[in-house]
Amino acid sequence: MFEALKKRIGTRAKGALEARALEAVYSRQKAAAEATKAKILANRPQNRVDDATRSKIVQYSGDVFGTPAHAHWLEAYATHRGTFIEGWLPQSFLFAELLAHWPEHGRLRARTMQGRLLKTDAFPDVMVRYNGYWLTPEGEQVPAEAVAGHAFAKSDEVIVKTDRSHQGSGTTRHNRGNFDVARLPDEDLVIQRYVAPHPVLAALMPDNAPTIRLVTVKPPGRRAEMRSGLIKIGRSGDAIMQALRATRVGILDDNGTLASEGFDDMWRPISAAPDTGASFADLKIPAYREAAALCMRLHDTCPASPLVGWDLTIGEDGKPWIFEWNMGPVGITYHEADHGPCFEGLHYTAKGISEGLA
Amino acid sequence: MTSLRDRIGRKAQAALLQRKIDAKRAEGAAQARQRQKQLLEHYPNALRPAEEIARIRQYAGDVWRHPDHAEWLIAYAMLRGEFIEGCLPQSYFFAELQARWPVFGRLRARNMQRRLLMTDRFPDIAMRFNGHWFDRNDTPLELREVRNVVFADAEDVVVKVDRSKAGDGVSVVTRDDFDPAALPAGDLVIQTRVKPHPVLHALMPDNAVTIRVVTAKSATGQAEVRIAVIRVGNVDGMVRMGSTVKSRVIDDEGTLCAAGHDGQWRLVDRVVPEAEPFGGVKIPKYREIVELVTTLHNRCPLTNMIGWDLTVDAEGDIQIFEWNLGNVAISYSEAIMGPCFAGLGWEPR
Repeated sequence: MFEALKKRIGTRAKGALEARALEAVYSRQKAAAEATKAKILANRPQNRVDDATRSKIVQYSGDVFGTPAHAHWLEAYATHRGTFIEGWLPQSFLFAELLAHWPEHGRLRARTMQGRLLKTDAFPDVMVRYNGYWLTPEGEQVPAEAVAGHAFAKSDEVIVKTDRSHQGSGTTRHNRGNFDVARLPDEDLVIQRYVAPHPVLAALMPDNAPTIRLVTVKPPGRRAEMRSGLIKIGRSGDAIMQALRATRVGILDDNGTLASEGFDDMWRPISAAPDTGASFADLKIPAYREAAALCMRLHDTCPASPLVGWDLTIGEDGKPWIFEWNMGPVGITYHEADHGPCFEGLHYTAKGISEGLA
Repeated sequence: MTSLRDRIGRKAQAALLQRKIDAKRAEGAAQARQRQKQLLEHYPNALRPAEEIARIRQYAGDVWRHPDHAEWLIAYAMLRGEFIEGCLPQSYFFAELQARWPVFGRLRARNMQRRLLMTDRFPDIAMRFNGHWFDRNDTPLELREVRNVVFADAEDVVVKVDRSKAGDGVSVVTRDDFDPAALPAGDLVIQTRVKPHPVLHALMPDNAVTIRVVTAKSATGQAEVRIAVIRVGNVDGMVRMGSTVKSRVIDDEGTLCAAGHDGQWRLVDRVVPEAEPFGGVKIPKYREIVELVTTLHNRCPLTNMIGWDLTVDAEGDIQIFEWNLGNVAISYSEAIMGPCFAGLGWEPR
C-alpha cells in the first residue's frame, strides 16, 4: 500500500510538471505573439485588429482549439495580413497540444544520425561526433587527428553544427586555417561541407547560403505532402545565415516562384534582397520541384514526426542539399501569416486530437 | 536570469530523477535477495560466512557507495563459492551507472536498428513506425500490401513490439492468423523465424537459441566483447526472463562451458534430457560474430555497453535479432565469470 501511495504521489508530481510545462509554452508563445504584433504595428499601425475582430478571434480560438490561449498568434497573423482568416494554425497549438499528442520523437532528431535514419546522402555531412567518438558518414570510427583530413576532403570550408544548434546559434563556419578539432565544443556535433549556393540564390546573398525552409506533413495512412515554403536570406558579413536577422520570402507555387514581397526581421515589407538589392519579382528557386520531392520522399522514409521543417539550399551543382530536418517546435508563424492557412484538412484542431485524426 | 519557476521545475525534476534511482536500486536489491533465497534452496552450502558478508557490505558501501548494492555481490559470491572484488552489482548498473550515460531515447527503437547500424544482418521483413508500414528496404507500404510482403517467403513470422523485453511482446504469427489492423499498438518489427545452425539446433531442438554477446567501449575507444553467453528458452520456444538456460563462452573460439545454469541458477549440463550437452560445443562463426558486433558498436556508439541477441542460421549466416541498450542483465555473467567490466571506469565518481 505504501508503494502504491508513493507511486501515486510520483504520478501527481509528474502531472503537475506536465501542466506547468504546458503553462510555460502558453506563456512563452503569448509573449512571442505579442512581440511579433508590436513589430508589425510599429511599421503598419493601420493593421491593428479592431475589437469586433478580436472577439471573433477569441471565440474562434475557443471553438476550434479548445482554449482562448491561441488567440494571440491568430491575432498576430491577422495583424500582418490585414484580415482574419479562418483555418490558420496558431503556433501555440502546434507547440503545446499537437506535440503532446504526437508520438515523442525524442532523440530521433539527433543531427548526428540524420543521414542514417533518413537513408540519404542529401545531407552534406562529412563527419559526426557522437558520444565523443568521431565517425565518417559511412560509420567508420576515426581518431581525432584524422578529423580535419576527412572534413576538408571535399571542400575548402566546413560548417560545424552542434546537436543542439538552433537558428544559427551553435553553428560555425571554418576553413582549413582556423579549424582546430581540439577547440570544437565538447558535445555531439556534425561537420558539413559548406555548400556554395546556386547563382540565383547567391544573387540574393553571396556571403552565406540562403536557406530554403520547406514544411512537409505526413498524415495518418497517407503519403507526405508539401505544405509550405519560404526562403530565408541572411545578412552581408555573416559567416552563416542568422535566422533572427533574416529576410523571409514566401514560396508561392510548385515551381518555386517567390512572392514579389517578403518581410525583414522587423516584419517590414521588402521587395528586394536587403544587401544585394536583387528584386524578388519573377524569381524562381532553381530545382525547387526536385527539392520538394526529396523532402516528401524522406518524410515518407522516416515519419518520426507528422510535421517536419527542412532546411536546405540549392548548391552550385544545381542539387538540393539538406542542412537539417526539424521536428517538434517547428516555427510556422511566418508561413501562416504570410501565405497561410497552410495546414488545412489535417484535423489540427482540438476535435481532431480528441478523435485521433490529427 | 533563471526564473524562480524554472528553478523550482528543475528542482522537482532532479527530485523525480533521484526518486527513480532510489526505487531502481531498492528494486535491484530485492531481486538480489530473491536470487539469494533461490540459491540457498538449491545449494545447501551456498551460505557465505558471516565475516565475508560483513566484508561485502562494507565493500559495497565503500566502493559502490550504497549498502544495498551488497545484495547482488552476496548473490554472486553464493553462486561462485567466493567473493571477488570488482564485480559490478546489477543494482548499481541499472540504477546509477545508466543514469549518467548518454541518453539515446527513441534511437534505440527496434525499427531503426538496421538504419542506424547500416547493416542487413537483422532478419527484419517489415516494420511499423508511427503507424506507417515499411518493407525491409524501408520502402513505405500500403496497409493492404503488408500481408503479401510479410508472408512472401514464410508461413509464420515473429512479431516484436518495440518495447518488447525478455520475450514479452514477442509472438509468432501464422499467415492465417495475421491481421495487420489487429496487431498490438505502437511501433513493431516483423522478423523471419530463423532456422538455427545444426550445432545450435542440437542444443535444443525446436526452440530459439540466442547468443547474447555484450560489447563495451574500452578506454581506447574501441568496442570489445566482454561477455558471450548462449541462452536457450526451455518453456514455449521463446527466450524469456527467468526460464532460460545459459552457458557461457570460455575462449576465443566460442567454446561453451560444460557447466550451464537454468533460470534459477541451478547447475545443468544441457537444456533438456534429449538435447546435446554443452560441453565441447563450439558456436559456429564465433570469430565473425565478435568482429561483427564490435564493428557495429563502433559504428553506432549510442551507449557504452550493448547487448546483442543473435544466432547463426542453417545457412551459416549471422542473424541479429536485436540490440539492447540499457536494460542488459549482467548478474549471471558477473556471478559466474566476473568481473566482466573491469578497467572501464564504471565505478562511482
